[in-house]
Amino acid sequence: MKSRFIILNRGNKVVIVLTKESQGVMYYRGQ
Amino acid sequence: MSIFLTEKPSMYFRNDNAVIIFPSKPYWFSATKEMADIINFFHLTDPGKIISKISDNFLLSQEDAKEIYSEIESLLYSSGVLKIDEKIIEIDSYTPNFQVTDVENVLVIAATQQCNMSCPMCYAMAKNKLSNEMTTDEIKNIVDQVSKMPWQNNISRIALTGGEFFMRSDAIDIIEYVHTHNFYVQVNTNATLLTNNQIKKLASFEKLNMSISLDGSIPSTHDFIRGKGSFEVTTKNIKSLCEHGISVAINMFIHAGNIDDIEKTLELSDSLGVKGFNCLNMMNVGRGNLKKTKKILTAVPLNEFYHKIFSIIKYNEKFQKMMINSTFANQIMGISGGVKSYSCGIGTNRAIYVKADGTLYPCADTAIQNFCLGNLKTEKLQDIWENSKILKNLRSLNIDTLNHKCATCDVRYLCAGNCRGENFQTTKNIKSPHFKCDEIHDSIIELMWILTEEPDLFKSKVDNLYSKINYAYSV
Repeated sequence: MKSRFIILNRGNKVVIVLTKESQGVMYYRGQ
Repeated sequence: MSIFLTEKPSMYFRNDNAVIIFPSKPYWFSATKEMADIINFFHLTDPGKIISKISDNFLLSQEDAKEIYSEIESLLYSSGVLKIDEKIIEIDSYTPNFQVTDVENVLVIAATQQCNMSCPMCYAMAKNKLSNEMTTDEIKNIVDQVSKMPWQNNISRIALTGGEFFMRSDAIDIIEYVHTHNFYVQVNTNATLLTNNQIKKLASFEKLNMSISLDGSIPSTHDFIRGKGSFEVTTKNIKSLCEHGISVAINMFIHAGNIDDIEKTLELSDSLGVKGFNCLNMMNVGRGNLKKTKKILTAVPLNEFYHKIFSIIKYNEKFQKMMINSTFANQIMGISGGVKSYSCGIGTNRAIYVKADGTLYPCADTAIQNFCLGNLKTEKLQDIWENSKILKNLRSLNIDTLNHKCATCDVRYLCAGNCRGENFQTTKNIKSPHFKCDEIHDSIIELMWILTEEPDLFKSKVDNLYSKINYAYSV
């Protein structure tokens, strides 16, 4: 019965990218 | 105890499975469709009521229902999309100095407009030499300037292209100059003009990659694009370059007429000694935007494009390795890694482009008059970089304020508005939704389905992404 309840891909960690001129790329991350 | 989802997720269903997306994070995962039903019970906010609902709905014991609930609760809480008694995992912030997408910043110098071919989809619309092309010294001056720019994320790679770069008699001299300035050199070429002496000389450069166009495994598919007789010369020279120990990557331009030849072209490339392989889908830029081109070349829908590549490399580790730096692998890494982007990077030094006449543009896809930033024959790169109004406007582009459709889209931070240059060349509007918006949206969901089927696709690349982030986080 429980085989109907499966997580197939636990998905991404959380990453945030901001582009900012002359700073290259800024990043933020959770988890 | 009370629980709340930070936002209502969007859900997509196929067969017995679901892809569930929390747009603002962005966070997505996939599960059996029953798990999606359970998330819909979360509006009850009381874990006890949710567990009872699971038990009643799916005819499960309280114990089993609680176990299933706990797994979902734990996943959502640790991903920062679930509040438990007002507690939530917050996002920390920091500013590392590396490229998250694993793609180096690149300066593209189209050193000549002259080409011995006249491909129907050429983004540069190359054919005849311009009357005012840069001299050797003018190109070297650009290299000098780039090496002194005060960029935090400096350019590490200079791509030399055209037209056909080897139409220039000073081609080797330019490569050598770029190489001695400690840049990685990438030469985009059709490889038909290379002489044995040039190949021997190229073998002496350590940081060189030859990026060669090969559009099929047989003369008919390749020559249809590149011209009669070119397949034979190109493959002969690819083999020779590889035999001399030179790093060669193939760029295969994909359209409806050669998509079924990808696998055999991969096999041929491998047999010639090629290390890298990329598939480029047809774009509406340059000559690719002409009506006469569209009569003879048909773009492959993105979903079909991705699925074709996936079906070929799925069980083939060698092909996966060859495609680890491909556009497809980068797309997979972005989705699998959950990279949150606010723009395509236009206006940054990600991929700036210099035309043969010295004019400077934000990227190859914006190399048109509307986006001309200045001319490096007479102006300083740093002055343009710091004072250009065009760049200032482009840097302000942000998916949250681009337009209503983008700002409310459930994959907005995974798409970031896609290629703004391509969109402008078709719609004449830099801020409008991409003219292929629906197709791009569906293709992002399709990549999630691909990752549902094969969660570890290009895992080493995604792990590498996270390892860099962890490293930066600890600094």
